[in-house]
Amino acid sequence: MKVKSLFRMPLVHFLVIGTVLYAGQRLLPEDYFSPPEPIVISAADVQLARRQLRTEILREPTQAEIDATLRRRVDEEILLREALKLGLENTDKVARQRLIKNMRFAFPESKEDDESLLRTAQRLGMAERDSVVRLRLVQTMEKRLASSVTLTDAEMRDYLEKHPERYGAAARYSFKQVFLSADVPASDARAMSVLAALRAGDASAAAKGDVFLLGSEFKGLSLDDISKLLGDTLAQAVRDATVEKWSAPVKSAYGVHLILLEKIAPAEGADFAKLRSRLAYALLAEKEQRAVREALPALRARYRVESVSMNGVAP
Amino acid sequence: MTFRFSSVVKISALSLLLVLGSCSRSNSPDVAQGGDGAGSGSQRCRNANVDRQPFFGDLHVHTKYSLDANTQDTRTAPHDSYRFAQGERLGVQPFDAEGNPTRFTQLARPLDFAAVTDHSEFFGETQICTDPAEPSYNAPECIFYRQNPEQAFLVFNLLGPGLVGLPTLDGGEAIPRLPYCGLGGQTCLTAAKTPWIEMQQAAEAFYDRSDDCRFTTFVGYEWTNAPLSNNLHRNVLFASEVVPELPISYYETPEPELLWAALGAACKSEQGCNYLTIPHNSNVSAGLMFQTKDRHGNDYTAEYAQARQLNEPIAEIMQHKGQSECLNTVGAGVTDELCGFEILPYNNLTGDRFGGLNTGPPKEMDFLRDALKVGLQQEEKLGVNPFKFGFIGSSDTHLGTPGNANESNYPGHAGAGQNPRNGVPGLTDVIENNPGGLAVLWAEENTRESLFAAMRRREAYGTSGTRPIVRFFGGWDLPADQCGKSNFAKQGYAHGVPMGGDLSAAPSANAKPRFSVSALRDPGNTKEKTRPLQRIQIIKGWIENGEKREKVIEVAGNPNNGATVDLATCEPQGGGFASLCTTWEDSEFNPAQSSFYYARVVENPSCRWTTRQCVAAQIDCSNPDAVPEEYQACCNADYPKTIQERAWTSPIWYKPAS
Repeated sequence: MKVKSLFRMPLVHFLVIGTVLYAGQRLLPEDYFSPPEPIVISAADVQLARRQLRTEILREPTQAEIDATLRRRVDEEILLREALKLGLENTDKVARQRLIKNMRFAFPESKEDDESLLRTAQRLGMAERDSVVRLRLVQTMEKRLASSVTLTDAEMRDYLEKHPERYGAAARYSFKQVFLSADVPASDARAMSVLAALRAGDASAAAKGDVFLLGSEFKGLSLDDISKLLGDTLAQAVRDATVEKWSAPVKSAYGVHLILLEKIAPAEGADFAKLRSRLAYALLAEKEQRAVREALPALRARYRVESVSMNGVAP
Repeated sequence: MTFRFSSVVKISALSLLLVLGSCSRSNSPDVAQGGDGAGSGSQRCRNANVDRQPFFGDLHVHTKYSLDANTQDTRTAPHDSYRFAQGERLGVQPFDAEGNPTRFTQLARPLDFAAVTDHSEFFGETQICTDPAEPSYNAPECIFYRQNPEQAFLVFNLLGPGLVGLPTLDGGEAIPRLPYCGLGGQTCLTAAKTPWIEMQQAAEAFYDRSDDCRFTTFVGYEWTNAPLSNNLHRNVLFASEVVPELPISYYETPEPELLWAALGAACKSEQGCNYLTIPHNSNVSAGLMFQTKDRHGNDYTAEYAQARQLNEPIAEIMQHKGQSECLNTVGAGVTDELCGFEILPYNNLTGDRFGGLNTGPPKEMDFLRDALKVGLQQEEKLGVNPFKFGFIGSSDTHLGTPGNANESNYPGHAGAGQNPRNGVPGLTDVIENNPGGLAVLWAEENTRESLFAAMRRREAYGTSGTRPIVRFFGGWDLPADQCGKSNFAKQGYAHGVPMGGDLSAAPSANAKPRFSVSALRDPGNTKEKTRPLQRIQIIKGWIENGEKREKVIEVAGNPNNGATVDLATCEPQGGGFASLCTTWEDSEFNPAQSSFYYARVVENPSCRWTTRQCVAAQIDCSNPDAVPEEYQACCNADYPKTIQERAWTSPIWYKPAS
């Protein structure tokens, strides 16, 4: 009986209707009653894109290039609008600082405080027009789109396997050389005679070479290190040399070299545990980039694009 | 106080992280000691060399986080730049409608080190944990952070080995990146991962801390002070991963002395933080970079000079926007025609915009050779030399491509010109720019400690983009036949000082200093052809009765070897030297005069980047009307068709005994 009288109370009716309306509003998409304004590409935008491309590529851009630039502008405009919907121009520190700076520059005698200036800037639509704020908000939105990216150990191991050239220790070579400079005559002939003596067991023949700035003994160098200091041909010769055997003469940009390979420390596989944090950061960066790219189509679907003259660029 | 379950979980996780964090912190390598002697400090790398070896790198790189790169459609992120520096291929603008790059670029030879240095004014950091006004200021994570900043830094920003992820609902694992996220991660989403954090993570991802030492990164940024477009920019470089939470930008510190004071307060060596600043493009500072006045217009004091000398051991002598070594006008009827190399035709960053109204011709005082002399004058007056600069080269790439300094296959460093090889025409940059240079450091091994120490003691040289290997020593009793000795470098270190060093006091009234310079040509490789050496010069600057003096001395090679280039094909003609070495004694030395000496190693001529692209496009300037618009610059007679690539060693200084 009490319940029945409850249902007759106008207050209860109000509460029920209010709850239904509130729930209904929450369930519907937020732009159901006020769909976002279309993004308009005007003739001025096309002209601006053409002019900016011209300064970048120093010639007249093709229609495809202009369309690609406009497509990028549309994406940025979408991200910007999403950011403004979240009120990021008020909470992001860089955006705030920039807007306040602009306002203080424009109205130097104003006695208003920062918050009130920000409200004025908002009314002026300054966030969309200032290039620093635009960029900052676009990048912040991109970061938010990527914020749910996670990593698993399995993914990191897989990443390590896919990039053997980046991780893992190179093979390292220790070798001696006798150098015959190209700036001294008959270096080829001298090389041959020194080599013959060395192979006959006369170690003192090594002193018959010319001096070399980087010396005659090299320890623990990778093939990349050798290439950097002595050139590709030398690096290949070291790689192909036999340990403890003087090589045939090898030519570099400097002259002729005789190589005695002494030791090879073989390449080592990558240690996952030691590399874990490097792998995590590298993979994280790539996954975040992918996440942003993949999130864009869903965002694009929410906005209509109206264009003055765009060839076949659909949102 | 309401009970927050989530806080308990977070505190437990943080305690675990702290324990793991303190474990992983203990294996940081010892700091290599500085000093002029070779080979000190403990060593980590398998190819460590006690006599030091040359490492090639680029300390000036902009990615999409710099506004002026982003507005030219650069989408390269810091980790992309580091991958490129290690030799991987990178796609760059212009992008097609799907966002795929339409051009690709790749280094022919990887770099040994690099630093991404985006403009800090744009980063912004939300001071979640250090600003009492922020809502999360009293969150447990923030209290922890303020009490243990060093540990917290590691825990919050790095992933130590063995770090456990926090399990997520779908059976995956979320590795916490910004733990001060608040309820529901709201604060995290507000903060987002800022560019500064991302740059640090990219540097960590690509710094090889194993004994392979393949590549070194540095955390850094550019402090962008350019009053009225007169360039006073500096790059700030940090020695380790311990860096200020907020990069100190121009907004907070609009003058260099304020920047140094703020860095000194925020980056303390007892916490493992060390920094230096590197000025660049003095050539476009319209007289400001080396004026000897502080922000109030007062003359330098000894204190100011000391601050500048300590904070700025090296400067960029070569980069994308021209060289800053010397201008082609020198007093007392002396000219140095090699100064007419990659000179930007204006004196500030406005360039030829606004019809040239905000700029003028270059000024001699903006070039490092003159600044070095002014530094000696200041030293005579104040007792301290404020302009004691070692030299490096850089790219200042706004494409995010470190070390892309070769004249061939040059995609530009900002903007999206098409590489002629892709079949689409147009020069890839404005004619007055160039692909930039490289920084070379003589260090025992390729680690942050060893390379940073080399920068501090100025054992560095800059190149105009190629990779000759150059040693320079100065001393009173360097052996006269040092070039004939099999251990040239050891002799140099034992009997003198390397490039960047200070000569000791003259041992006697008639003593003359000797300088030994030895250079190997860039060996090149199959993908990158190089030229032999033509000559080496030593440039001496000194103060005589208060006046600035200089002299360029030919010490090795042959300036008249007749080497040229066939302009129709860019093929070299004439021979050169695979290596050059000499020991030179300054017979005109006067022990009462302060002086500096540096070596300039010059290659045979080769085609400038413009000529290479114009030749590839078969542009014929004899009929100017037939030349397409995008190649008009090919016919600009104000710019040379050939250049002579070169290296500049850091100077060796002499100060008279007082």
